[in-house]
Amino acid sequence: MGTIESTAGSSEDKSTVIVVEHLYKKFGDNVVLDDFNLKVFTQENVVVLGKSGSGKSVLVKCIVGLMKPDSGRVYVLGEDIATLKEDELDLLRTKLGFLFQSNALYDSMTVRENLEFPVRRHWEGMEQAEIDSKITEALENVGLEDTIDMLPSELSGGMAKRIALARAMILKPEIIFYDEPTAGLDPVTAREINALILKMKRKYHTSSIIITHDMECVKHTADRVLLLLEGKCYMEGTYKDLEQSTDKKIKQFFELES
Amino acid sequence: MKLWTLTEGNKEFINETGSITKFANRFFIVGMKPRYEFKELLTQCYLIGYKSLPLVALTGFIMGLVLTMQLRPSLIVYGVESQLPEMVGISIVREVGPVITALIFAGKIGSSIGAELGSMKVTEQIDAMEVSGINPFKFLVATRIISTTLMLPILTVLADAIALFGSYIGVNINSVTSFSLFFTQVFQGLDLNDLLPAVIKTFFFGFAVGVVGCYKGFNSNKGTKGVGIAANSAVVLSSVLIFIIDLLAVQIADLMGLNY
Repeated sequence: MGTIESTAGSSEDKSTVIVVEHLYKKFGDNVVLDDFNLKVFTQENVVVLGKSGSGKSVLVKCIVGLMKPDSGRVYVLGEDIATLKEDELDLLRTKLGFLFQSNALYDSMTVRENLEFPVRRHWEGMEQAEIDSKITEALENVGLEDTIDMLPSELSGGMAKRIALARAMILKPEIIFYDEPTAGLDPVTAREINALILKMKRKYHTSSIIITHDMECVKHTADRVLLLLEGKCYMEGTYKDLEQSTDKKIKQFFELES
Repeated sequence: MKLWTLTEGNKEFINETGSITKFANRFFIVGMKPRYEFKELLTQCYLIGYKSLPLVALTGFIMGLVLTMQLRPSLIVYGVESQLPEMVGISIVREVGPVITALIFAGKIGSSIGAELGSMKVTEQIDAMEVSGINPFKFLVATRIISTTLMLPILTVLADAIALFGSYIGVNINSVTSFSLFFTQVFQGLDLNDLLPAVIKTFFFGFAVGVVGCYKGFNSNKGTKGVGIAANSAVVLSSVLIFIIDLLAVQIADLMGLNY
């Protein structure tokens, strides 16, 4: 296994927001995660790179509790996900944001209602004017103020992605998960989404896990990269480490890109 | 010789029964705890109850009319045509009204819940709700199950009333009977023992339609095909359950001496 020494900087002195220990998950005979370990530090963008079907999405779903791992531990903001009760897990999730690959906007609601929904639920008693200002701020962040009364079906792929990002960010989460944020987008829109990811980190000081196989996305957003291959962490390092690697399995990601 | 072997089909049936029971149990554990989703509950009552009124009213009217027109010749043969309002009243209130209304309700509401939740499931909208700290079971499932449980009895009572009106029209096609005479005869043939078990069982019919529709939608997979399967199987299974509950209800009412 070609493990590369981490050059991600002095991350050990920062506090961890996510710790994944010895995670194991299989579907039938197919082992998707095999003794997988991961640490994410505060205000850090960690990219989990891997081929389609390598278990990247399963990993984030295990971290947020949408899937139960077969064994292993996941700690998010110091809480052991497996031991939390349903209400406690809901409370913890208010500190997390999730950008789905499919955007997962509520298709029967307008953009305003999509953004208002989590705010009304978690910040009960908030004045309408304050809610409106939160929605405006969220839409300004992604540059789509004019779409407020549109339905998700009326939005383009890039617009829907940005609205989904605005919704994921509206509760000001401490950690945000991006599941293939640039998949299916044209290069220009993909670049805009990458810029938005960085903007969100700078503005709200979030920590992130970004799941992708898009090397442009890795290049622009990653503080640290983990390569997930055959259920294991094949390498860990910076984008530069990846680029300079002579390992065949790592090089193929750059070859495919070019 | 083995009398019975556990085939894949048997296993699937047992698994499915267990999963639905677990799902219904979760409704009592999770759905009944605060916080309560009153706004969503009212929205669902409006969509499930009020929006079903035209269909239920139309089928109720036709049900009463047809039953009367088909019973009449047989009663004439036995010389008891004058008993027509009582007979129709008892048939509609005890059995035909609740069961037909429940089946119509299962077709309209069961499929709609199955398809709506199924579509939300395959497009990750349910996951999005869950991951933003909103319990989708409480918000989507509990509200729909409570709505179907509460709305079906109301719709059934309304359908019964409209069916009796349809029956009155049916009686007047071949003879002339006054409105007051017809309904006096209908209510003479009915008492609380006819109405109460019939209304009580509709709560269970409504609960079954809600649980099955939500379960099928909530556990839908395989993309758009899965949504179709969820909608279809929600109707089939809830219709079968309606007949099973009806069978149990009539046995219980019989044991309690309410069928006489």
